[in-house]
Amino acid sequence: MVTKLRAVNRRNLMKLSGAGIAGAGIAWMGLPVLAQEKKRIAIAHPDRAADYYQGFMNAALKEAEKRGYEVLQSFSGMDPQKQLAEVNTWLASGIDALVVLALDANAMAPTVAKVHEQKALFISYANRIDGEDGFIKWADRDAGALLGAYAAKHIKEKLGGKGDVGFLTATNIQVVTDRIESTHEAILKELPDTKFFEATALNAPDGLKATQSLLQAHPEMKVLICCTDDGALGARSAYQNSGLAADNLLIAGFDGAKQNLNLIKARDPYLQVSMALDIGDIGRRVIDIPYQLWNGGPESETHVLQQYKLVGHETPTEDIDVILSVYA
Amino acid sequence: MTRQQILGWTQRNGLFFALAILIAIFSILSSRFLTVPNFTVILLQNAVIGLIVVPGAMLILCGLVDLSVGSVAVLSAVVFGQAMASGLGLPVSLLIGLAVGAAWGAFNGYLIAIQGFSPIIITLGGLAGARGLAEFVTQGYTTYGYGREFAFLGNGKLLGVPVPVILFAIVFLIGLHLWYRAPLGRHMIAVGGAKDTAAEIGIKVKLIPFWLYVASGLAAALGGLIIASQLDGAAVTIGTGMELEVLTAILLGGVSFTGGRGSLFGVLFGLLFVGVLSNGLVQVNVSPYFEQVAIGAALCGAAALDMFYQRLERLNVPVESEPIEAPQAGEAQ
Repeated sequence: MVTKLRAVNRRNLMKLSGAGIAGAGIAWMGLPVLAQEKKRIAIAHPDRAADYYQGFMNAALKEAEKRGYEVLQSFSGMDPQKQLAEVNTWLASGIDALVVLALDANAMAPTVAKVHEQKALFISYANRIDGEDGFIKWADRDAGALLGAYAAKHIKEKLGGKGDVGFLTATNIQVVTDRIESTHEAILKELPDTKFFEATALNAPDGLKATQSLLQAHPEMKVLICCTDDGALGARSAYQNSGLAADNLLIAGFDGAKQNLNLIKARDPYLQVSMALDIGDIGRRVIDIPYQLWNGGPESETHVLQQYKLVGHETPTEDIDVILSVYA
Repeated sequence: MTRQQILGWTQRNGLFFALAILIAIFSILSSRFLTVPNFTVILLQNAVIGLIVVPGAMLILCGLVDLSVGSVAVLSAVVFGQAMASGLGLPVSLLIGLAVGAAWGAFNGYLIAIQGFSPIIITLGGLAGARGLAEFVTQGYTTYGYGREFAFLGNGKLLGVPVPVILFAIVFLIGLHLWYRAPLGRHMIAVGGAKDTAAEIGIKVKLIPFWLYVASGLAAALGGLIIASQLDGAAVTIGTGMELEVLTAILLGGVSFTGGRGSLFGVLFGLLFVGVLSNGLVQVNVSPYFEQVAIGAALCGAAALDMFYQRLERLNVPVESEPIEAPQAGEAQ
């Protein structure tokens, strides 16, 4: 009896093993097909600490849900090497489209070839990469030109045509250098004798320290251009606590971050301008561009230049509310 | 002060001369550098790091390290911000913010000092984990607008001195007392220099580091709250790179990374050296493209000068030393 039972069990075990192997084989062949039913789009955004990030992702996820795509996210913490590493990890795991805000456009170029080898799409946003399939380029240089002209007008009209200009910048991010260089050029075009003073600061705590130092060296400085809105918040705090008068002051930043827009809307005497991107449109398009490419959409929908809007104290509050709605 | 005492002090505080040279250079290059308002700003800019540096230096003296301070600072700030946003009121929100830092420090201390886990691995985990938690708590949205009372913490003045500078001075004076006057200072050196021997003579080789981690977490939380007060917002960027700033000041100040040797005055000079350098480079309008090179060169120069002065030890200057006090029987754990 015992022997028979053992034999049955062995047979059952053999059957079960066979069934298991067959099942695993079917699953191995079938799962990739199932997985590929939902296309995977990987978004490499370098800075999730940025105030505009959540608005951007809200719009991207909403669009992905509409299109039936799966979205993968990563954050390199503003480190170009880490960004390359995370992009390579995604490529190894298999994705259908890679959407990247490249911290170093040149370093990212070889990755485009790898993406194409895998028959995937490479979409860049903020700046452009050689060989990309589609892009949503932020018009950083146009924005810098616009802000530079605005600052020059401010210096002419409110500061008697003369004024030192401070810049908070960062040297290792192309978007930032484009913003700042073009602002320089636009101011110099109008006021060639303007003196520039620069410090490195990308975020609010660094912006606070850098502006404190700038104001010690140049207490008469009335114009401060910051490469990000977050940095502008630090500059604002430094001015506010310096005891210097806020009259005819111009602090400006880039991005269109929520806190900055709300301060401008409230006519804050320190923070005057934010060069605002349409964050909601960018979030939507980073998902829509792959869709258009997969479905033969027109080039106007896959090669997009995103303009900035100058939001200042003269901007109607209703217009600011429209931009702010993406943060809801 | 005798010649030998002067030489002995020089050996231990070579960085002081590097700092003096740096101040002299910037004073020549910028007429606005050597002024009381500018030095007040330098102290204000470095007060937060200074608060964290004191317990941080004590940990390194014990042969340990806390790499999670920047992330604990931001976590405490955003938890404070959320508490304020949910209407808990300023005193309760402040206590919650500080408690978060102390709790994280206790967590670090328990795992590292009591359980013997690697301080680098655990606090690196904290560096990622606490910042991740802060981002999770905020979900990307910064809270701001905490009112005048809270603004006093970061922007207020008492007798013309900024509040953060006063807080730093208090913490530094307490640190000086513990480091040089209380038995704890010698016990920390013993824990960092020869832990097993220290345990044998009854020094609390587990409890001392545990409480230092709690102090480090608390100092980081206070630092985060001060920055949140200065910005009137609990941005998730608070504390970014703070651990490196803290380590730079401590190591530049001559505290041995393996523990057992160091001077709190050296740490103060290290802190001021970095602060003066950052401020001075802005004052003389160094191009941002050259700024990092200048910082690197100055730090290497300072370290070299410090090493040069330490080698004066070969002049055979006697340095006073005090015996380690053995605690009462049963005091050790």
